[in-house]
Amino acid sequence: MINIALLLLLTPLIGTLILLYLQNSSKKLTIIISNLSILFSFLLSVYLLILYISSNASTLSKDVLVFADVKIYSLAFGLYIDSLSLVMCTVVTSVSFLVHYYSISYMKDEKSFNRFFIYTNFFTFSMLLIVLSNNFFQLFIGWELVGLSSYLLIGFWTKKDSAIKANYKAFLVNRVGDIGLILGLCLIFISYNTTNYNEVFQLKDTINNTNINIFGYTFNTLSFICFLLFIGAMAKSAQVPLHFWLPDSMEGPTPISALIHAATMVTAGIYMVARLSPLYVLAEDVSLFILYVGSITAFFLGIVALVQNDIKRIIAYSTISQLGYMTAALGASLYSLAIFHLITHAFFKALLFLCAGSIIIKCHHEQDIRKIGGLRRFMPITYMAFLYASLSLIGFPLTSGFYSKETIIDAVGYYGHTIPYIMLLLSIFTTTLYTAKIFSKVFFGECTLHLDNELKNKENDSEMLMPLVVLTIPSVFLGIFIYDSLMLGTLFGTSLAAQELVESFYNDYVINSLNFFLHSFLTINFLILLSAIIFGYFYYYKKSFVIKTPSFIKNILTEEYGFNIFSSKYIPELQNFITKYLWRRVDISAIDNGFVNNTSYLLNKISYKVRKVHTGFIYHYSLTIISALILLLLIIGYKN
Amino acid sequence: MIPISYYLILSTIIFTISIAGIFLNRKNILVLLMSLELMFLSVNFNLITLGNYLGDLTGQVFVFFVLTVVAAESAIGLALLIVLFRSKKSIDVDDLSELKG
Repeated sequence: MINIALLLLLTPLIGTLILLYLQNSSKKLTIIISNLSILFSFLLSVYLLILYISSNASTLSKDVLVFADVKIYSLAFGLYIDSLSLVMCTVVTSVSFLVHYYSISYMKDEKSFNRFFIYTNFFTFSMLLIVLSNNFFQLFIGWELVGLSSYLLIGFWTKKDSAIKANYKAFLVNRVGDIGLILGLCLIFISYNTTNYNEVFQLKDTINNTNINIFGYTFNTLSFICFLLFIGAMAKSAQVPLHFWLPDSMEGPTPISALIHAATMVTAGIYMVARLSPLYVLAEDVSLFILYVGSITAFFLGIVALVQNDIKRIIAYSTISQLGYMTAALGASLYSLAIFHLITHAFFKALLFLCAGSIIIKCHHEQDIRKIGGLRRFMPITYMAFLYASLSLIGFPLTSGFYSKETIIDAVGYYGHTIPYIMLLLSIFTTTLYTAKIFSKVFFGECTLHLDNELKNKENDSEMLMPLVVLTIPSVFLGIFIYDSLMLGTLFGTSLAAQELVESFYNDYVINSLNFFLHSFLTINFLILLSAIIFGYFYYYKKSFVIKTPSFIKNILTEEYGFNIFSSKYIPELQNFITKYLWRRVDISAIDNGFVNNTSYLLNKISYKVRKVHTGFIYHYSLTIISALILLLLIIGYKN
Repeated sequence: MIPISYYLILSTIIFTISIAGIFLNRKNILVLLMSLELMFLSVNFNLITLGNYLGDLTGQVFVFFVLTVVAAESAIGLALLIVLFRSKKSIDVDDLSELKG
């Protein structure tokens, strides 16, 4: 099993290396290598998952390679195999494969076609490294590699100014999160003397009672570790206030947005917290913090999507909002629900992005939804795929998104977290509204773009449409398929903590998936959903009424609560100020003028005086020698 | 018998003359070299005197070594002098002040 998992992990890396070696090969070879390596990896992960579940195997954690073995600790490269990591592997590789397949057509006119596939293969490998890691050290390496590959991919179009700024931003924001992650890892290492997950989980109870003193304040060590690690997760999974890199990451090619938003990047933070659920379940105050961060993100950033006009930016804000749901579920200790929503979200969000890519290609890279319109007539497949993905996103009953999202909302309400519950409920309304906005503007109405007649009659290549059709299936049906086994804990077994919370909720409230579906029509969730659909229909489609939003609210929303201006104006200005101060006061005044120039100046001054001694006359020198000798002799004589 | 102090005084006088020759000489390097020779002689004189006085042969033997070294030294000094004269057309001490600060 370990060997298969190792192969599953290394195949994308091998693909990357071969592609690197064959950089100038033909496009066909590149396509074959890159797609086959991911496909192989996908098939292996499906095989492993089936093998694991059917054989009822227990958690397997094994060090494959120990590369630094010092007496007190060892750094190892290891694999952690349980249903959680295998399910994640399957999700990552399946989405990644479909995105790869889709990119063949999407990137076909690109000059650096090969480079794109090198990066995406590497991206998949880095994510698998996180998912399969069995220690914090390897997690950190994977974490950074994911950051690196996202940086490379967001800035894939290196000549596009905005893309370079966006990837820089993404990288820097992730660095801020990494500070938390690194400090958390250090604290774990100091307090547990090991980086292995299992060993840490075993020791957690002893550490739970210790305290740590920081600047005179005392914290519980475990809570503090969880808090620091969560800062890392906040940056990766785009939670307030470290979320603002994600909308900008739309500057990369659209398949990359699908990859980042669905499978490989933003899920890393959620996955990490779920993986460390035995620790987080003990840190109750941090969990509460996570719950609030998640619900604030879900609600407030969903609203921002309403005022955006770039199709990809809207979907990006929707991702942040959906990640907020997952984080809220993590905060409420409903870890399997968070993973459930992660899985369904991966599929329907990948589908949404791939549809957006299809639309963008069709409209010659026009992304403004005010200009796009009426595409329903000549893009029927994209239209249908987008419809199903949207239904799943808004949580329409029976779709995958319904099962994952409604369960999170209801469970958060069931456990009495009133304020987060209300925020999550209200964001159903905004989610539906911005989906209706994209939908009515892109697929209905008049197209103001000038499209060729030839293009009008033909939809995109079949390579581009096949992934859309395939992704529709899990987007709609996956939820009902795995719902019961997931809720009862048979799917994730012991890999997630606090499963009993989910189970008791299931037995008390859900009873079974069909009942949950039928019951949902009578809940307030459905009422909000329905009213949002009706509102969206009349407001965006029929345009029967116009709402004047007060300009200050609109300003706040278009400024994205000031995060954008804060990050792109105030922080650089502050940094500019500080660095200029340091440059003038420290670099120029102290170091350049103070040490370097002053030393030479002083030496110069002294030597001007000293050089007078050298008269150049031999008798002066000899007089000096003799008088020194006489003096020396006198001193010796005097001493004796 | 001549007392030893006479010898020593003579030696000191020669030594002082040679030092004065170095200091006061403003003319040429040849005189400088001669003064150096004289200085060696005074020292040798001292060695022989004290060797004889103490009945120790080592002092007198040592003088031969010193004389050999002095011969070599003056040969080198004279050679340098010739090279110097070739390049500067002068052996004047005052002209040799190129290292003046």
